[in-house]
Amino acid sequence: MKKIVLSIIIVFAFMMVQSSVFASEYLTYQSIRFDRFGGQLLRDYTKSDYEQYYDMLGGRRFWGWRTVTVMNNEPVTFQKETRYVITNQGTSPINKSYHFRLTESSKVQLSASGNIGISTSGNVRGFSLGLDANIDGRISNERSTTEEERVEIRMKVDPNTALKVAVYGEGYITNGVGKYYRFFINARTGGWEVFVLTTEYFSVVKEVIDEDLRR
Amino acid sequence: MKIFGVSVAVITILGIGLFLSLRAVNSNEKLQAYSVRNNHTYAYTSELETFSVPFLINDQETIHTLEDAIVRTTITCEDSEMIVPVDLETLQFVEAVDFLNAPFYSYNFLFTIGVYAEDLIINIDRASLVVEYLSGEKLTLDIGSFHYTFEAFDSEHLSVHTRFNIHQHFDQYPNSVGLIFSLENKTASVIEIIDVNFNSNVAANMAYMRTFEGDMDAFLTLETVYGEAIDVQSEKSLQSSPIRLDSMMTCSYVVPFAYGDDLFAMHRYPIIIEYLFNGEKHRMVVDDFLFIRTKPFHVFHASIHAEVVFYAED
Repeated sequence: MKKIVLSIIIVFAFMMVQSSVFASEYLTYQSIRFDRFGGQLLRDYTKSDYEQYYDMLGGRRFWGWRTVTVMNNEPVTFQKETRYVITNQGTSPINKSYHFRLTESSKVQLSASGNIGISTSGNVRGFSLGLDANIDGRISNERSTTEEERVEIRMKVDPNTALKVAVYGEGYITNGVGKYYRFFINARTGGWEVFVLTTEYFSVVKEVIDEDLRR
Repeated sequence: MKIFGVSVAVITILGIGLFLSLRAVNSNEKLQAYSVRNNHTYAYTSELETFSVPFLINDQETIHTLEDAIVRTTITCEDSEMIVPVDLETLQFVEAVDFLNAPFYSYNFLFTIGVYAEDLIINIDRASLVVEYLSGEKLTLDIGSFHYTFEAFDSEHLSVHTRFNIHQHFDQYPNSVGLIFSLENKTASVIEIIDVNFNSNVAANMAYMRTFEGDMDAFLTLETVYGEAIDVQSEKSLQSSPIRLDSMMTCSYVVPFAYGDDLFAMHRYPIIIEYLFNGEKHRMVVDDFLFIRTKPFHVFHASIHAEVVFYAED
């Protein structure tokens, strides 16, 4: 009997272990701006925000999730990294075509805090323990697979000039907090966030290389 | 034991019968597909360059989603007087989506152009993609307009530096409404710009073309730039006089678009600049560039999405 009790305790202890925080590519963007004043990313939740949102969750339950949605499909704009396609450091112009492949495998990106986990199955990522089904039906339908397009740009790049592609875009943020219960025991606690990328805007810029920066 | 064996056999037969009858019902269900009316306009760079044609279908278990079942793909005009072969590179499944409150599957045809002829310009104002299947069935998708130029790119007189697209949302659907670009005059003479176009049904509204000073930004609006609303569903208006670009100068310009009645999406386009140099008319083609990449079925837009209704063949 002692062994059984000990095993159960070990299993529960294992379940309660804090898992690492998962983050997605969108959190590395240069800037993310909410269209509406007061928008908040999960990473910007303060300790008191968490406490306030946890209070809104309601009482314990026998089994499953209790969640609160704080931002619900809030439109955002963002600026991504600038892609350097080519830099001509030579003495004669380069006149050729360059191509970049646009691939999509992450139009829906997830991040989580606390010990809420993210699971990956093939190309599909989701929150662990079925959290997806509890937060927004639309999210689970928008898992993308692969889409690829080869875009060529034929341009002359003069000496001492860089050809850059700047990337901006739009999307939606949905986030909130949740607690997962087993036998009324709180097994997982934390925040979750879903970023849905809807549109990317590309611009071409040719710039003279700053000689001072190269030294 | 015998009774058990007979029961299993009966249940198996009933199960197969039920499965086949359900399949028969499914095969008669209405198939529904949507295409996107775009202003497709491309400049030939290489035989490897692709362009995409998105479509949406409500059933994945049909031949329309099988790449191997496709034998021929062409782009045609309304009267079939022009038939342009396009080579299917791949048929990509993109994602499952909710569209008009119903479940659909989004696909993307990826094509390369199937013809090449120097200086050829293809202009189809009302274009359809015709997909022919092994079964003999044809799927015809309204894809808007289709334009392709095989003209050479280089100009010894001008050089284009920066290209920023101005966009606007129409019922949440983003579309290009203007362009900011910088031009360098590499010659010792004045160059006069007489026209800018995109080899498309969409025109540059030349009467509004002017120099642009300020920071270029992907979220600039026409209203911010001009200080007033510009109607992009107007007809093209001409400039009163050519725009002069002095010798060895680089200058930035902004020009709004004129769509006329059709607001079909134009997310990728070349720039064609017509100019006078020493009294002679020249033409410069700037390779097409993808300025906007969006989920084509994120929202429904009545003038952009075209419905195709057909029935699965038994």
